[in-house]
Amino acid sequence: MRISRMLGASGAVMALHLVSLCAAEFKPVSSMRMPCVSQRQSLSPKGGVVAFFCEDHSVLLVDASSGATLHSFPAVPAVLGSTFSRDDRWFAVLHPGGEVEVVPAAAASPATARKFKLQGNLRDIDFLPDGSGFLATVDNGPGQVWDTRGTPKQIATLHNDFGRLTANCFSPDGRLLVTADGDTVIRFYDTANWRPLHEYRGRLLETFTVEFTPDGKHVLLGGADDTIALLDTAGSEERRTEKDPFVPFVIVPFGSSGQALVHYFDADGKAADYQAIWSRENGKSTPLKLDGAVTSARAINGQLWLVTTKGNQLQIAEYH
Amino acid sequence: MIHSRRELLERCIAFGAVTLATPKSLSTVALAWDAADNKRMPTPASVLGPFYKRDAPHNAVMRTAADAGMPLSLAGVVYSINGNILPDAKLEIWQTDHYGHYDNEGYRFRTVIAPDGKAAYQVESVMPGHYPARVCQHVHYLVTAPGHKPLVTQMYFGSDPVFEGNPDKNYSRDPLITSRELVRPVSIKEDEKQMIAVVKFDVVLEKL
Repeated sequence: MRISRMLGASGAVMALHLVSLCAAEFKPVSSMRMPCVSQRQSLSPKGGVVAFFCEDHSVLLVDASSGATLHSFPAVPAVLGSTFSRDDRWFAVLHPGGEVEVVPAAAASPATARKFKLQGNLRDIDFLPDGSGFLATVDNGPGQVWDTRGTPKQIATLHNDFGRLTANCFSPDGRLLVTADGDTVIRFYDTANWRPLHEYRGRLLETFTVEFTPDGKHVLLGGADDTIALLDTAGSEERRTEKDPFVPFVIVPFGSSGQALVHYFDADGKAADYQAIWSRENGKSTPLKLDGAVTSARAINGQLWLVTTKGNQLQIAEYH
Repeated sequence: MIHSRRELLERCIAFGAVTLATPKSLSTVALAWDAADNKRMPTPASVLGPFYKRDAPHNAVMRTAADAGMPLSLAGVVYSINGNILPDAKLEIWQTDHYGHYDNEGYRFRTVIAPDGKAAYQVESVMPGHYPARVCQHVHYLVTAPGHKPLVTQMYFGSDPVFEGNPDKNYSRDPLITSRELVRPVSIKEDEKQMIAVVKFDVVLEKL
């Protein structure tokens, strides 16, 4: 899951350590001046590109190491949703009316941009693991699977009782899809044919984030019940950890020892959001002490990479 | 006195005011005419979450004497778009308490109710507070009925200070209000003990 915040951009690469993180825990990877005023960024799955969602509603793709702007989307038409492909090759944005714009995300990619239209009241998109299309989130309806290799065609409709997709994740090997819907049900699908494999109805409140563990054997769930839960991929056994004071909204599992970055928010809106490192071993979260706001996080090569911002500076750092 | 569409049609045909250019019976034509007149627009949908909770209790009286806030009586009828009432419907209704807090631990101000034989429902609650992440006071509805699409929507109060007394002009101050129709007038009544805010909110479901 992406932490939904953003930044801005002019692209120049700055010296490292501009955003000071706790030196004992973080190793700086790169740093740059933000190319626009932005409260939200998204780091690509392999860490090579940063998408800046600018305050003026434009979106900029920036090379994470050189700071060069790779592509810019104007403020109009609006961007409703966005996604990187798993291999960092592509970046796609969803505009109103179901229009999807796909551009190469790599600096030296010979690939060409594409535009096409999907049908329906789409709110967000996520690349399929093999890049052949998208999983689309639809208002008050189940998720839709689209093949966009030729003329876009909807190849599957997922299931729900009501509401819309609130979270989804593909397994590390791409063979499974897990979804959470507004109806509070967790569902597993076979991505070879998009047929449902099983579902888990043991949760009463909505799930906001679902992520496979790196070994692909479990999913981590976070939601309105203020707990982090571990569910096996057969959907048969859920283990909830200690109740947190706030709502786990984003989970980024990393490493082999069962840790995860968790972004929490206060459902009553009184306390500020914060991030913590959750441990599967003891089921507890330890808040991170950071000088700057965490705006995106990824598990890259088994390590946790964090994007933090302070003023007009952005830093990418690796957690140890 | 003419009492029914059929009687009216008979009279019109007798005087040449209406000609039937269809082999259908007069009763069928009258029924189709009535159905066309009774058509209703589906209630606009809205977002479900984020604090929907499954398995709420069946309890039409959500407020207790100890609850803070102006008592609220919510009532309405569940219709299909052809104007038929849907007594087999099920309504799930949830909201914050007076302080803008959702009860995620338990089921305060959450209920599942079945309407009566005339598809009418009524719940007793309090005026919800302002949830911090939202602009307006609101009540969530999830309405289902056999053969119809589930409706997820939210109802708003014309009395909300956000509208400054003019919801026609100001309803879009909350970006999640998808239609002016969802902002309902509030009337105040008094019983022997207290003043009560009364809101009527009919819901109309689309067919599958």
